[in-house]
Amino acid sequence: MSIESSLPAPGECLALAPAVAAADRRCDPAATRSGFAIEVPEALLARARAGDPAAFEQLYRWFERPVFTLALRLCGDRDEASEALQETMLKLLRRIGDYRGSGPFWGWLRQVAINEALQRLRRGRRLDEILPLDGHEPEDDAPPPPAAADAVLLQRALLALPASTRSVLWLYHAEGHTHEEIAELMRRTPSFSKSQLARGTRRLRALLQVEESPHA
Amino acid sequence: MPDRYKLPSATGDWHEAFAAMPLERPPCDGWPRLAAALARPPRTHRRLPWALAAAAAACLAALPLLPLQRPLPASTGLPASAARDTPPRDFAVASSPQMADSSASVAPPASSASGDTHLDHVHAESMRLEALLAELSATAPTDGMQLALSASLHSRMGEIDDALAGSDLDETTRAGLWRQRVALLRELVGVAADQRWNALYGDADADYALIQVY
Repeated sequence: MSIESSLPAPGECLALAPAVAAADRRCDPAATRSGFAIEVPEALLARARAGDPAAFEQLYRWFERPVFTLALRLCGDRDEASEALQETMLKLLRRIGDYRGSGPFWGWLRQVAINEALQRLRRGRRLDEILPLDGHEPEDDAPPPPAAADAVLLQRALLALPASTRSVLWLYHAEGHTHEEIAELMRRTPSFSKSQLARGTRRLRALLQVEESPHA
Repeated sequence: MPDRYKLPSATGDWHEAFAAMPLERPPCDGWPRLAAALARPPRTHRRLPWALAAAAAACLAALPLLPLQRPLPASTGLPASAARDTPPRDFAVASSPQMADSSASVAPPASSASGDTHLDHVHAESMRLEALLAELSATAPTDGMQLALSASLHSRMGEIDDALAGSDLDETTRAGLWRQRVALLRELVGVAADQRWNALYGDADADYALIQVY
């Protein structure tokens, strides 16, 4: 049964079809493991472009958590992330006709979400919060400490980083963006992205190693 | 290390560690609110009543004719970066709150492979003016004409930013839009500088004084 035929028709019960993850390319080192990587059938996009509310809701349900999660990781605040989610989806659904299919739909949506989150940080002058630099910042290629496997500890450590540094780390490690792409998104230079990544990774490591020794 | 605290198994690299973090759930279902917003007509960018729009247009037309009425005092109180033609910040942009909505999806694209230095200059100028505007915009407008003028300029900025967000623009059109954006930013900076002047030195009988701050 094709994916399109499994989708509910307009007006039917909104037991929405489960999202189909983009092809698992984890063996491909260049593949992104972003939470946004969800294949959206062309039929669903066509219904959304036609203004079908059921299609809108389906897109919202599929991408609600990836958008909220990205906004939360960048903004560091649940209320802010909720507002960013609303604004992102509102912009997306109102401008869905602008999507020309030149790349995956989820990539376009992710771009809107990242811009919205960064704009909120920019508005609050929080993108000025960076880790001070000491000159040459060598890359930190060592494996993360064991505590990094604990999502709660990792989340707590990320929140302790300055907003700009945290954003660079998330966009690089979680969303798979290059330094050039991060520079363009954050209106900075690639060298800024590289230095914040190096410094931020070292700080993250230090924070997690403190977590591993709670009685230290 | 206490037995009750067992470390998880080590992850391979930071990519895996970040990818393993679960997706977060929003505190409440946002769909009903979104559906209601979608049902409303899209908010147009700060459309003014016709009378205010006419007043704003008149102010724009009069801008080049307003003379500098008084000399600058020894200390203007303006931010140091506004006093002279300072070099731009290193890609740092601080947008004013009014700018945020309209510029949410606009970012200067990467330089073309052939090195479009003119467009790079326009992008850099846009970022510099945004930063300057953010510094000057801390003072809320108290003059009705200034408010109308500022609102009109922001409205036009929003239209340009909407156009720039489109993916099908050719290079010539995109460059033209960026130049228009820079021109509008210069006007906004002029209005904001005037607001700051009035806040610092103005009184009920003060005449307009335009100060070129860049």
